[in-house]
Amino acid sequence: MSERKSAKTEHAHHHKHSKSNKVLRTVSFVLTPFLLLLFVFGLFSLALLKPYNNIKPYLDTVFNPENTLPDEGQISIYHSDDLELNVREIEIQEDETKDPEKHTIIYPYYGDRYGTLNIESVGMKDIPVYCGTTLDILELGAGWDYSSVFIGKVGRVVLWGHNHTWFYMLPQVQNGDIVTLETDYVKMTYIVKDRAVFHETDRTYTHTTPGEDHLTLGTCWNNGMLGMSVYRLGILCDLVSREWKEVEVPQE
Amino acid sequence: MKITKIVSAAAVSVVMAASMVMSASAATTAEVAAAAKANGVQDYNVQQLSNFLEANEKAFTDAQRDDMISTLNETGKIVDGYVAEGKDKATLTEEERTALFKSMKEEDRQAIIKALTDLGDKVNVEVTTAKRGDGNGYDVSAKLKVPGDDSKTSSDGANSSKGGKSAVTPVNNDGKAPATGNSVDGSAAALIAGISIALAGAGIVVVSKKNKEN
Repeated sequence: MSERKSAKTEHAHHHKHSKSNKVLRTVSFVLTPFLLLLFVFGLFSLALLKPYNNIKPYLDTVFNPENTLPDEGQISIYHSDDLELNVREIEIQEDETKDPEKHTIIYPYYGDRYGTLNIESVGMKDIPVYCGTTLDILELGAGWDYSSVFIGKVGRVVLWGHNHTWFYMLPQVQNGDIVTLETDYVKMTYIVKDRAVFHETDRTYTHTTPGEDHLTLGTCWNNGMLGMSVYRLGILCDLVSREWKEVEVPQE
Repeated sequence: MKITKIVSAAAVSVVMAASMVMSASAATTAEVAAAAKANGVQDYNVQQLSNFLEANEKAFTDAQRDDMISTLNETGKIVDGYVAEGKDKATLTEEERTALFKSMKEEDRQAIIKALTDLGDKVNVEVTTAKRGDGNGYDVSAKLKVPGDDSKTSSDGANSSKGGKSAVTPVNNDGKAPATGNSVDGSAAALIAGISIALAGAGIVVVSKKNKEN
C-alpha cells in the first residue's frame, strides 16, 4: 500500500515536474535566442561606437539634407527684421606710404550675412560668411571672428568653418592658391602663403596684426579626419588687392 | 520688440585691465582701445572692444568713453599688484597677460567684474558674466540698450531710432578658437549597450541555472 502511495506520489510529482520542465524548455527555447541577440548587440555596439563616431560626419555630409546653402532671404535670428544698415564713411590708411582715404563700410550686426568666400582651386565656391562664430552661425556658413578686424580694414581677418561642411575642402588648399572675400562694400583678394596646426587656445595665427593685411582661415584639425579636436588647421594668407565698392551712405 | 545691442566679449577686456592714466579730455574710440591695450588687456579683447565701439560709435558720447577709460584706470589699480617686477603692463606679451589673469585672486576678479557691471550701468550697457568651467576666465556678455527701449516686446517698432539698433548675442570669450568639427555624443549609446549586455548576460545565467536544476 505504502509502495503504491509512494509510486503515486512519485508519479504525480514526476508529472508536475515534467509539466514545469516543458514550460521551462519552451521559455528557454524562445527566450535564449533573444538574450543571446541582446548580448551580441551590446557587444557590437560598444565595439563599433568609436568607429561610428569617426565616420558619422562623412555620412552626414553625404546623406544629411540640411547641409544646404541657407535661403538668401533668411533674416538673422539675432535682431529684428527692420534694423537699419549700419553704414559709415571712415578713413583708412592702407599703407604707410599712402595718405588715408575715405571709404564706406557697412558694419555687420551679429548673426548677419557678412560676405562670400571663394577658393576656386579647391571648389570652395560662394561660401557664405556670417558675422560671429557661435555654433548656430557656423551651421549656416563660415563665421567671421569678432576679435579680428572688420573686412576691408587693415589687419588680420579671421574666418572659421566646420571641417565637415563649409570648410571640408580647406585642407586641400595649397600655397599660391587665390582666395577672395567679398562683402557689399569691398572685395579682398588674398594669396595662400602657409598653413599651421595649432592648439585651440593658441592665438599665434589669429592675433591682430596692426598695419599688416592677413587672412586666416581656420577649422578643426583631427589628423586629416573629420570630427572634433582641440587642434585647429589655419590657412594663412597675405593680401593681394583691396577693391572698394560704391556704397550709398544714408542721409541722417 | 526689444531691440538690444550686445557687446561681445570685448567687455572681458576689463578683467585684464590695468591702470593707465589718460587725459580727461573727450576720448575717442581709438583712445579707449589704446588705453585697454596699454593697460595689459589681451589683443583679442582689445580688438573686440575696438570693433564694438567703432561699429556703435554714435551710441556712446565722449563723456561715456571717458568713463570707460576711468574705469580701466580704477580696475588697473587692482591688477597692478600682479604685474611682475621690472615688467611694463603695456609691453606684456599675450602669454604674460593670460598668465597675469590666471594668477589673480578671485576676490580681485570679482571687484573688476563689479566695476565692469557698474560701468555698464553708466553707459547704458547690461553686463553679465559667467565663470568658465576650466577656470581660465570669465565669459562676459553685455547688452546695449537703445535709449527709449523698454523691457516689453512690441511689434510696432515704436522704440526704433536711427543709428545704432542692433541685437547681437554674446560671444563666449574663452580665448579658444570656435569648435568647428562635428560632434557626436556616444555616452548615451555606450550606456544603452552596457545595459543590454548586463541584462542579456543575467538572463542567460538565470535560464541556464534553471535548466540545470531541472
